[in-house]
Amino acid sequence: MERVKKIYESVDAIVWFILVFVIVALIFVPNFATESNITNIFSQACVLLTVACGVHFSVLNGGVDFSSTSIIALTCVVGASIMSTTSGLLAGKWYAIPVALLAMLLIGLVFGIINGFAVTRFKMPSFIVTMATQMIGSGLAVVYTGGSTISGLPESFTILGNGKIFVIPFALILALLVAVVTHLVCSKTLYGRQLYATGTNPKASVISGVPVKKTIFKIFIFSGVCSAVAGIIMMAQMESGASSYGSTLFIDIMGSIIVGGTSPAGGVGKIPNTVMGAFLIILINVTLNLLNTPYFIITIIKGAIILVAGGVAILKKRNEKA
Amino acid sequence: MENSQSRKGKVLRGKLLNLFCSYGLWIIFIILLAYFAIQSPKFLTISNAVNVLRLSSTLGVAVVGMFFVLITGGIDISVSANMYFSAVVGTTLLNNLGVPLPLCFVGACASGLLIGSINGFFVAKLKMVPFITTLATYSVARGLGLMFTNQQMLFLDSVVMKFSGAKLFGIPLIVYIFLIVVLLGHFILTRTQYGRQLFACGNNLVGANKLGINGTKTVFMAYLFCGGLAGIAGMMNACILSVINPNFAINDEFVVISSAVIGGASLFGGKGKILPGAIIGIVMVQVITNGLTITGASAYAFTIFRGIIIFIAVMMDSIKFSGEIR
Amino acid sequence: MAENQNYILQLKQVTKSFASVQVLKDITINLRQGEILGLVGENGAGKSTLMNILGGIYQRDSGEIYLNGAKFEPVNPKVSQNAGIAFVHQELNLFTNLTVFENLFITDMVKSKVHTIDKKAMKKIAAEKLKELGIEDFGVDEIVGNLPMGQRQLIEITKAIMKDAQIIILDEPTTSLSNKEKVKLFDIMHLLQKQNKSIIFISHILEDVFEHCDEISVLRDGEIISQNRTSDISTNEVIKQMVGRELNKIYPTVEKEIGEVAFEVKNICQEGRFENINLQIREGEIVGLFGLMGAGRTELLRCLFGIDPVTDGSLIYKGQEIKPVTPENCIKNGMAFITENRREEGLLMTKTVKENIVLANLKEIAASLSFINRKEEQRETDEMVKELNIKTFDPARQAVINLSGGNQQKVVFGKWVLRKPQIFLLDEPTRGVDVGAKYEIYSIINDLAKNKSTVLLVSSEMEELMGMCDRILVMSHNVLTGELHKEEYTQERIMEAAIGGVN
Repeated sequence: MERVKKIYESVDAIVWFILVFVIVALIFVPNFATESNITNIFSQACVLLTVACGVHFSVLNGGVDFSSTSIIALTCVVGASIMSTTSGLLAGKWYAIPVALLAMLLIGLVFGIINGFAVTRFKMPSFIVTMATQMIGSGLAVVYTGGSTISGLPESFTILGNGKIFVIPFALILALLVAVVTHLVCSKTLYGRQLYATGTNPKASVISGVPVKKTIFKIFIFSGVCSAVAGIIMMAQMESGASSYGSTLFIDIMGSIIVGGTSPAGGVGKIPNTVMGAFLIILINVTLNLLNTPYFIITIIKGAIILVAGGVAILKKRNEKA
Repeated sequence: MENSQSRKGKVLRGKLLNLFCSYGLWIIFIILLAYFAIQSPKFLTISNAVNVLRLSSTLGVAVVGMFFVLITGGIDISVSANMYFSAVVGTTLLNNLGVPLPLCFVGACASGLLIGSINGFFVAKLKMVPFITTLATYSVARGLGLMFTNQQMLFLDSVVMKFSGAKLFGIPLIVYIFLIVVLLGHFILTRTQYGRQLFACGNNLVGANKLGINGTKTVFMAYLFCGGLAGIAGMMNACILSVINPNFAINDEFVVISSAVIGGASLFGGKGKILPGAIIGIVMVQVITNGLTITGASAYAFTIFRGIIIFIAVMMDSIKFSGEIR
Repeated sequence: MAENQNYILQLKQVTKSFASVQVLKDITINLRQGEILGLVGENGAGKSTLMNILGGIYQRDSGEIYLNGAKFEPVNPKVSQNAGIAFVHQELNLFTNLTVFENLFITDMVKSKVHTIDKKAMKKIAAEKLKELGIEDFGVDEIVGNLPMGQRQLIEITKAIMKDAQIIILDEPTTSLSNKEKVKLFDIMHLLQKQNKSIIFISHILEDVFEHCDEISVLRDGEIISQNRTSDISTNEVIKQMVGRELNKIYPTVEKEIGEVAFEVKNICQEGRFENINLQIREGEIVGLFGLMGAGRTELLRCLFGIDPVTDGSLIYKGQEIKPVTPENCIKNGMAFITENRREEGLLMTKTVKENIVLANLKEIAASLSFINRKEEQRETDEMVKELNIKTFDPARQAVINLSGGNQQKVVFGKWVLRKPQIFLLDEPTRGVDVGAKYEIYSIINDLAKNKSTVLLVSSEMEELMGMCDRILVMSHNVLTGELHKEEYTQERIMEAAIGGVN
């Protein structure tokens, strides 16, 4: 009994959530265990997982990066407009794809720099800075395309989105690669340590020689680049670029991170849990869709999940302190 | 020598920065006004001014509510979804149950209060981060709204036309409602004990609790005000448009928040005057939007402009903040 | 009970523990109507805890409190307030965004018939109160944030007596006051006394206590040592009671060599605070820095470590200037700083012992690609846990928040000792630490000095400085006002310098 309890306590709550959810879904939801559904879950998880890993950094510091969704939109339209074989700037050129990808990453980087600069230099709260850059980014994306969808992406690129090994899409491999890299950065490197320290107590961190401002600045770089990678995946999966891509994603991003046990107050949270959180959110999405649940119910449930998970995390923390 | 010179330079830079923070927005605003006036003769007309006032009034009511929340040092992202949800509730009362319009406003306000109380509970009682809490309620409120409408457009009964078109001394009735709400908000903040304690909580919540002020209740009430006023604003907006589509009020939280910040509320709490701040803030934002429309700027550019406005407004607030001792 | 008739407040056998540490033991205190009771004791003797119990902020574990002869239960601040107990806290509790009169009335504003606040009436009352107390430096309409600290203190006191309090507790009210403001404060105290109010005056400045109090109660390590009429006891006796222990018992000594001047502070300035502060510390020397609260000791250390801005001047270690003065660069150049408030600025409270110990040394244990060398991390942690005798069941798993105060402080030391600092700045390193851990901390400091570090030790406990330091500098109102060598140490001389600099 003791051992069971120990195992129970050593595993994070998110694992149990997923296990219970999957078991219940297997029993009650028809067509849940089909190959196509599993592939569907995997491919839907790719974008969310990648971008959530990036935003995870800012939440570790008690902040947020709202601009991530608009970075996805902007990178998608810019990337598509460069590499499209029908209307692209570099249509048909052999270097179209690498240039497009570089441009996309660059956009993520630039947004990261702007966000980071505003937060560290002007001491603006991250949620409002990134809210502003989110508006600017999505506005730019719309202006850039005039609202139309850019399609005709080269097949050598879209294979990333539609190719798969067994049930594992290529995109998932890229997404998991991002997850592994961010996980290593967070948990094993100097920067990761400095990030957790800053998120826990910035004052004590400064006094201990942690370059707090630089650390916070880099958060937004990571977040921006991860969002750009998410944009790449999104573009490959949709085989097109449009300014609406990613626009409804933010609630899912926050849901993944908070359900994964990351504290919105900063300093606590693991990337693997955020990855599992992303899978849980996608599982919920897919399952509710299988059950023909209307869109609005899904929206309500997602909001409720954040409230409940956040509330539980706070109550748990209070219990530990008492 | 070098040192004193560089110090002088610093002082000068500080002064310039102060000047920019105090008047920067006004300078940008006036330049924009001049630009719009030159570009279009229609811009500086009385009928356009009345139009802008009318446009400002609905969201202005929500801005007043946002002041309460910002004074606590929090934020409410859910206002736009709340407006949608409340407008749907009010309209359902009007259309399906034939409830008189004033009571529909009460209904909208009540549903706004419901969302506000959820926000207040999580932020004030559980001490959850405001922007996450209100992001979640944003999702919940919008979902509820979509549920009630079944994701369809909702047309309001034609009686609302009488209300939205009503004028008193040539000025739309809605503008008076806005002004009354501003005066009430101003009154609560400056003339009641609750208002003064709200400022105290925004300045130093721990200290306020130590003195025996019920900080939880005070902050909770601020979110209630914000929710209730958002509900009224939603219903007003629905009356003007006489239709609620699923995109109703989407992204309006940005307008509301940036108007409040431009109007002098600080994201760091404890600061803000509803009179004239709320009026100045929302009118400034709406004048710019209106100017862009009149001069034929791409509708897509609006979002970009809004983003830039909110960025600049908050930047000035933040730079000023770092200079204050608290 | 006839004998107790003129006692307005009596405490009997009041005890209080935090976690497992007993902070108050069988406290018995009597306060007479219309008198001023001085409560003295070292920092951490339990004065503030005791008063917080009276003020309804903490709940006592046992014992009884009588107010006007009747049993009194201060279950929350409101109950105490309503019972006529006014508490002026050590830290100011004012709202800097509100006006003076709003601060005075914030919890209970004067209202008109329609329940709105009556600003006119409040302003009038506030102005009257200020006038009554002879405060004329500011008007009731001024925003508190624009007033200097000393004047804010006067507002705090005015606030406390707004509600016709019977008993007024003043917790270290003089720390941020100038001499002139202090005189005003004492005038106010005697004024209140004439109105037959009773005052509990907590202060560590014995001179003030002896001059202004009718009775003096001495608190040491959570126990009341004595309560006497002021005329019945001498300063020396009070000091003896406050200290009450033999110096040589507590402070470890170590054989060490004091070398050449190694660390120099040259003309350090900070706008609005310091002007041309100079000091030198030799290799292996422990220099104490004494000052009363508000003298600027903490601020000086923060300045030297680059946490607060330095406007001018330089830091030199062995001929090399440390520039720029930022925490990061100071650490790189072998400096270390233990802050006075370990919870806020010293530790990551929710993180493990290991994470805290290696925090300042992260760059050194980062291997290729800046991956943290886990083995090295564990080795260093184990080394510090062993060397500093930190009691933890597993440094990699136990969060610092679950350690005792002493062990927490040892973790902070571990963080720095690991780096073998050449310049060690210590701000109240033994505050809130039990006696056993104190001794260990002294040994750690001595060992550092033995290994040729230079140590600058700030403490409010004079005895600690006298026991530990080779030299004591005294600071008053942001100026260094005295320097004493070991053979010159007496409490009187140190105190003289600490107060003397005022004029």
